[in-house]
Amino acid sequence: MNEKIHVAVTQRFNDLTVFERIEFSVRENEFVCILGKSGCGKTTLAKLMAGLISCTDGAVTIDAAPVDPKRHKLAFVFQESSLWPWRNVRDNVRIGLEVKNVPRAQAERRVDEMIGLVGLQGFEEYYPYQISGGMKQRVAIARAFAVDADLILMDEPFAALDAQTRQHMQEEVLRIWERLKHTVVFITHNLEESIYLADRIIVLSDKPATIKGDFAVEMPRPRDFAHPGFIDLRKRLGALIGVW
Amino acid sequence: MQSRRGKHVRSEIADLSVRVSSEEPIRARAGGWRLARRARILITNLMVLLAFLVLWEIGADLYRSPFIPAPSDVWRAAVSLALHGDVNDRTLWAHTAQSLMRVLAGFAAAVVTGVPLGLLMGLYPGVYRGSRSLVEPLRFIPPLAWIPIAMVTLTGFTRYAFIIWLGAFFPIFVATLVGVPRIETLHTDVARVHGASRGWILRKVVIPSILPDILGGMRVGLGVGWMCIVAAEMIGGDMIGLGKLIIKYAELMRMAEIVVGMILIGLCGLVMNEILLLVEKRLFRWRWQVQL
Repeated sequence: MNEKIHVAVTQRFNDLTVFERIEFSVRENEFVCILGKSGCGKTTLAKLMAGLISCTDGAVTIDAAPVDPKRHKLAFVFQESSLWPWRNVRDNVRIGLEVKNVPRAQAERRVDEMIGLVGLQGFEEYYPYQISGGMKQRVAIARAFAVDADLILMDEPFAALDAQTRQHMQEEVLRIWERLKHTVVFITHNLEESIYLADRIIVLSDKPATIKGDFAVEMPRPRDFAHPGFIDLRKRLGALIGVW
Repeated sequence: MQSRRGKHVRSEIADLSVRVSSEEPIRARAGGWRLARRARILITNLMVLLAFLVLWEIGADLYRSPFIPAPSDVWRAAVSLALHGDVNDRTLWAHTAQSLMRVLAGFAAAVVTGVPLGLLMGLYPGVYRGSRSLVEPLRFIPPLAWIPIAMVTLTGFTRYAFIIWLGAFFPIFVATLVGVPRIETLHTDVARVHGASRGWILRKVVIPSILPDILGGMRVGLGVGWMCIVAAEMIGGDMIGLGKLIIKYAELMRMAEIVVGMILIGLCGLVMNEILLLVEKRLFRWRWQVQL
């Protein structure tokens, strides 16, 4: 199978074992959700996969090469707003393209396209403090999808948003992903969110985290929360991690 | 009178909002309020200043001493110094220009040295920890204490610049140093995920993040620099400069001229500070979000 990303890692901080031999792979253009309770090491896993921290043992590989932000095209949507407050929306979306030395004219075109895609036309010149939390996450998503990434990591990107905005943003992310087709690893603690979004759900246990389950979600999108398959999967996932 | 002024300001607001309302009604109204607020602040300041001058005049009249000049004496001294020059035929403008140049030179040297050193020690805390026992005590030695050393080692313009540099350096250095650890790791992570080099992160994340701190440090450093001008000009050989003016007239016991020198130092500092504030507001609109 066309395996794009392979993860096989063990992570310890001093005598705290965050996870012991977690191993899974992600196919190209797959949308994978990693589901786990808060505090189980999901963010650490995401940072490992982004090459932001190195693992105690094992490796993360993309196309069989160890993950390296300089070599691979990676993108990360953080839980909190990670926009640079001194840059306006347009210049924030351009960050990844700037790092990758994309020629100016081409970068501008791409930025325009991405801003259009997340529906922020007219807000290009606004600074982060002038826009809402949901809009900030849209900018972060535009920035992530702008670089044509090998892997886009999203670490609870909608956790800080209200329920309605969150629902809307989930639809948006799917729409953009279906259009641009990237490999996405989406971290969440929210059962419904994972079922709504993912091709596949990897369930993590509590610390030290191990993989408790790996579910393929085969319902067609857009998924209906009231669909029997949805409810059934939610029950199974809930039973697996202990319903909360 | 008061109410008529109020009405005038209000009509100005109305004008302004009418003019721009078709494009940005909310912003225009906010601009109008800001204008009214500014006018109010200006008027209050002028009134405070006036009250101070009146009290000073009354106090000086009651005291009736040749060593306590009244505002009117100071004004006459200022006019005479400006038109006819001092005992060495140096005009007030020449004094001011000289002091300004010295302060600017010392201040510029402090920026050029303080910012890179602060960055270096902020980014490599090991360097700071390793040299702490040298750097920290130096901070507390007053520029005045350096005068004898400056006198035997330096000559001419460098003497002045050195003393002012000493005063302005540490506020700028420290502001940069403490600004670095306050940079959001989230902001640097964004760049790192995309594979940015250290140099890129320094230019595009670190510097913009701490620029507000640096500018704040510059404003403090500038103040201290001006405070050092009298000390610096005490030891310089030239008979020119606002500090020197004060020293010369101190020997003659002419208080009115001394006060003229003091006021001019204050004014120069004020103007430079306002310029820096303006730059700050322009550059860091995003930082002023907390202010209304």
